[in-house]
Amino acid sequence: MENPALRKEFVKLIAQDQALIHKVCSMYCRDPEERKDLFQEIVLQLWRSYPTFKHESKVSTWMYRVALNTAVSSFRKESRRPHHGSLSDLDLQIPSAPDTSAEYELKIKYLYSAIDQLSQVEKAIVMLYLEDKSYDEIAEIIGITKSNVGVKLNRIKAKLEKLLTPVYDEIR
Amino acid sequence: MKLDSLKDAWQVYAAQTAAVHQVTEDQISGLLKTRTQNAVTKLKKNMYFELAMLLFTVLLFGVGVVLVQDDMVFKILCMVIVVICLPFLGYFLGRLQYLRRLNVTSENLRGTLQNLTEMLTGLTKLYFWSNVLFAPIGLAAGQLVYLKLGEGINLSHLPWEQLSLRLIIGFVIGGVFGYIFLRWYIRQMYGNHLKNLRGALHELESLEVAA
Repeated sequence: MENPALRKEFVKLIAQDQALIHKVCSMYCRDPEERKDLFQEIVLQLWRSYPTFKHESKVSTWMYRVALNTAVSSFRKESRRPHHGSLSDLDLQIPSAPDTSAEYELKIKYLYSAIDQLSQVEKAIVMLYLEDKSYDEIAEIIGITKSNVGVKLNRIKAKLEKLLTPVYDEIR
Repeated sequence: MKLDSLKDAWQVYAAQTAAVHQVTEDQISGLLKTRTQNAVTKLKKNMYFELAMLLFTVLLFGVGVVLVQDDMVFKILCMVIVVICLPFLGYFLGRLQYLRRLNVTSENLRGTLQNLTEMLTGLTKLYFWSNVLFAPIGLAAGQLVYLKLGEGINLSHLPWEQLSLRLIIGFVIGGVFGYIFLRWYIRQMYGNHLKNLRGALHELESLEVAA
């Protein structure tokens, strides 16, 4: 594992594609400290699995697989956020992004809050969907069939739409 | 509201917020020097502690077997403890080797959840039952060791009724309290985590079964 050339190559790869890991961290952690811990854990797990990565799948598929495996299976404090509550009652602890309108930002924040009410597995699937991954790639990362990706996604979409439609209508 | 209509907005927003948290190559190199904090690491720490305790016990009572010549009961007690601990020492070493080789990220999410659930269930069971066995043995033997080393009593001269009563009391108290404490401890350490892992795995497997 202590091969300097391999380490350098890995560090470069992570520096280049780190946005992917940050997105996974934002999806699973609201607390900045927890997010940092998860980022560190994902990088360590990627490093551990890097020597055996044979480039049979895309780098991004491998990174998503390791990152989501780590996020779903890692030890984290139980969220105090109430589940199945009204979205408008939730404390929207999402960092503000520059160059965005207030309405757009509010919509995205409500989307994150709605995603917060999904299960760990559902979060993984919806994230890959929002990242425009194909059903084949989602199936490969999650370990279910392509048709079941479709089934699961339809259920998740219905859940999110039920949660989001009332608050989005209010914003309009 | 359609989720598809939010795809572009989400991608832009997620990329912008990811940029806010961007780290440098030096910081990434620094992260590689830190230690992982996952369930396997936690379990490994417990295993190392267990191994250290077992090794200490084997050495301590092994010395007793060799050095104590005037008290046959105490010598037999030391031998029994060593004989009980040795197979566990070997088994824990084997499990530790297995844990060190285990890579929880080499499979897809379903495979990883399966591996982790099986491994955590098996190892927490081993940890629980081995300690449920050690707690009464430890308490029963501890009393006799105290009588021998603390009070200077030759155990061979103790009446059999008194000796067996002390052993039985030690076994019962150690067994009951050990069982209650270990159930609580394992639930605190791994209970919720294992429940979450099983829940996530069930969610994926039920989907396949339904299909």
